[in-house]
Amino acid sequence: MDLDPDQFLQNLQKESEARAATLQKLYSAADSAKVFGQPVVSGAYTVITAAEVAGGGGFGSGMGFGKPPHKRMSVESRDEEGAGESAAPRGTGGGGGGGGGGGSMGRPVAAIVIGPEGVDVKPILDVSKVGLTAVAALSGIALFGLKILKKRL
Amino acid sequence: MGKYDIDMNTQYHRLAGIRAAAGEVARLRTVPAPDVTVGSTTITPFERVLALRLGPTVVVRRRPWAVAVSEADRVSRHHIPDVTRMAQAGIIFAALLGFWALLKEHRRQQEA
Repeated sequence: MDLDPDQFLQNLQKESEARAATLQKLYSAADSAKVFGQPVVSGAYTVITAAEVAGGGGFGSGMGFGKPPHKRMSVESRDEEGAGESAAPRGTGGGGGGGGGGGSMGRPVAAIVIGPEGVDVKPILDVSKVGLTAVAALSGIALFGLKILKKRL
Repeated sequence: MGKYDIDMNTQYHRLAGIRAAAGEVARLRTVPAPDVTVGSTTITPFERVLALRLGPTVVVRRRPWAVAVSEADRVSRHHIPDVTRMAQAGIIFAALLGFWALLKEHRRQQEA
């Protein structure tokens, strides 16, 4: 494959610009509008939800250039091949590729209640998350206990 | 190939510039969110932003941190506790204690 270096570098520049734009998007993905919700008014009370948000992502890319090895041709072999073919320029080759991935999560943390009594911060317990942690911890202890019991018997 | 060297160098510096613009490796900041006014009470929520950048990987974590309440001439600050994380930390700590107790008991019986 013949390589047009200018075209290749233009593509590389476009790719790096796109990557920078995506990086900026990832940085601003979890903005404050997602952490604190819009105030909700109900009677004399105003409630603002507060949540933890997290996001992340990564990229990877690679590229390479190459030239075919120059063969020293003897006078005899040059004569055999013919002048037209041997005079053809040897091209350079190159290529590149990239990929990426990302994700985000959100979890309620608290509700800020503004009422006639003043401002109150009410924490929210994520029972599923706590429950899963407890199950994982108890399973770990049970497995460890069983291992010890087997050694003893 | 000489042209390649120059252009690749330019590309390298361009990428380095992008990296510098994107920020440091780790950054922890407390950022205020827009004020909310209800009657004579104005609240300013604050959030904690942790940004990590490891090579081409970016992780951003934002969590509610505190609320500043302004009422008439009085200003108070309320911390926003993350009870879920506290409960998880408690369970993990209890589990580690359990492991440690089991291991200690096992060693004691082996020695006996």
